[in-house]
Amino acid sequence: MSILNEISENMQQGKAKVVKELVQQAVSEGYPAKQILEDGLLAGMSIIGEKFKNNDIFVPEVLVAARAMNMGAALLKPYLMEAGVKASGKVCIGTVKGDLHDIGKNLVKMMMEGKGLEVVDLGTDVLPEKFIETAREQDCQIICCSALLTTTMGVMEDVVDLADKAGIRDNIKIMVGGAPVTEAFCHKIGADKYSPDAASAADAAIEICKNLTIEQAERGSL
Amino acid sequence: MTRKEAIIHLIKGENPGYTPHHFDLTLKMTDRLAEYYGYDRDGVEDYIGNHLLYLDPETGFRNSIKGNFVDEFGTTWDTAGNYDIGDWGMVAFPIEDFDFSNYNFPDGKSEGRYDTAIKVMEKYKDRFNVMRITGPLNLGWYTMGFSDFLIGMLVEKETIHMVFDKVTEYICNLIDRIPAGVDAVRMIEDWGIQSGLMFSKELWMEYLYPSYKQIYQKIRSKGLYVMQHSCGDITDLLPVMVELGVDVIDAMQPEAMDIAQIKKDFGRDIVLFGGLGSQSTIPCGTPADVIAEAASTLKIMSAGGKYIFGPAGSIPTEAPIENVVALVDFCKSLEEKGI
Repeated sequence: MSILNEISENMQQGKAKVVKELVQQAVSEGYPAKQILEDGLLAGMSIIGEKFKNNDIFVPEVLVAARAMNMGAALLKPYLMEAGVKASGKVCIGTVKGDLHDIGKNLVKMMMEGKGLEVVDLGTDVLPEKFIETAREQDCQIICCSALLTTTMGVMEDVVDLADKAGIRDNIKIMVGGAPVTEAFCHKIGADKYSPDAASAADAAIEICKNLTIEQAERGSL
Repeated sequence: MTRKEAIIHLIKGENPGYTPHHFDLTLKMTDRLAEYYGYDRDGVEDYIGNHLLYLDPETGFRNSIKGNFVDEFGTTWDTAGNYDIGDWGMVAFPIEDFDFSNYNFPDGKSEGRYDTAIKVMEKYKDRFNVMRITGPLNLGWYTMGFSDFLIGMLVEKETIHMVFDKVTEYICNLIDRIPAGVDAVRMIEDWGIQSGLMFSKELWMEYLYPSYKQIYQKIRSKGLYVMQHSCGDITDLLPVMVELGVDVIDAMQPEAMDIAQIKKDFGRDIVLFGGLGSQSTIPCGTPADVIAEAASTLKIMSAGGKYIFGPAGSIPTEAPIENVVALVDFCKSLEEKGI
């Protein structure tokens, strides 16, 4: 088994210390940081995401795998920067104003990081203004809003309205999710994308970032 | 027949002559209904005709820090959050890195915990009195945070087993001190998410089975009925609930579970409670939609008895008032018409 496969395998089993050692070993053996990230860590997290989507594994297994991935990724970070490797896209994520339930949001964040996206975590109870401000200041392509309560999901519409007013919808897309949120609700409030689960949200975010890059290139705005 | 007797008949598999109902309202929704009907809060409770009377042990908060308070487990709670559907306002935990070396678990033996409950029971004489107690999973993760606790269930097994042992002992001590007049204990926590169990059934059997076996035995030893709450899809655990002798299970979330199949598979062995969606029609539909869904839920779930009608969760505070009034009217009609 190649060392990159070993990284992926151990990461899936949540063996954080082993992953860290293997990542260090791979760097020492001269593997490019980008390859270690993509073929080792992200490959492993991709498998975790699929298994979670299919109900083959549960929340604890995702959490331990993500913990192992983060340990490997932290070690790799300076090498990635040195090599000029950029994330596949940038997302700011949070639960909307009035909502403190962040389990789903955290899973989405982990899955997105597992796809190579950079995620700015705004935490819980986030004001619509904060989403817009952060997305603009930090050049995010996506604002990702989460809600568990039927009473707070309405705040997502405020985020969409504020983004409209700010005139940022061409360059920043809005994703919504959470137990009471539906595709119909997403359309109703004018958000760009609804995802029913964390792994699908990560896939959708990658797709959005790709499309935005193409659209921006076509518009000559890059 | 009193409402208490109706529920006891139901649990015993007898026919109380109609389908009893119960639904949770947030305090804010109670106030909205009070304004609508022109009653005070107690008047609303009476008018709705709820069959259960929920009681809670004093929570044991021991001091206050800038509006937050620290409970007897050392967990800090934020009072400014949204408490519509549960105890999710924790902002700080006493345990880091699974280190319990300087930590003392509370024992649940303090006096006076049920003083308020006793007064409340004196006020409502004819209801089925239910003491709500937080379950061992919740008490466990309240010490260190949810993510750490779930990670610990896989990688720090010895510590997590110790935590389950300690909180189970705490819960059993609470149950031991429950005052006369209480009819049942409803254990509260969540094992399910929208698409299945939060963690595997194997992990549930490893950690929660031994804990709940003790807890349910303790409840029965006090001559009380056993009720269990969990949100989300817990279909895979229903055979275990039956095996462990749970009398009533809720919330039966139709958005997450096939309630018709569950009724078919388990409806003879355990009282099902809930079943009416609270995430979709009540907050987003019309009164006619609410009535249609309530009628169809009732038809599925009440066949053969052993069913308490109600929404699967608290009715959201901002649900249209006319929807809630329609539901109240529907519930009241069950007893009047003997449905």
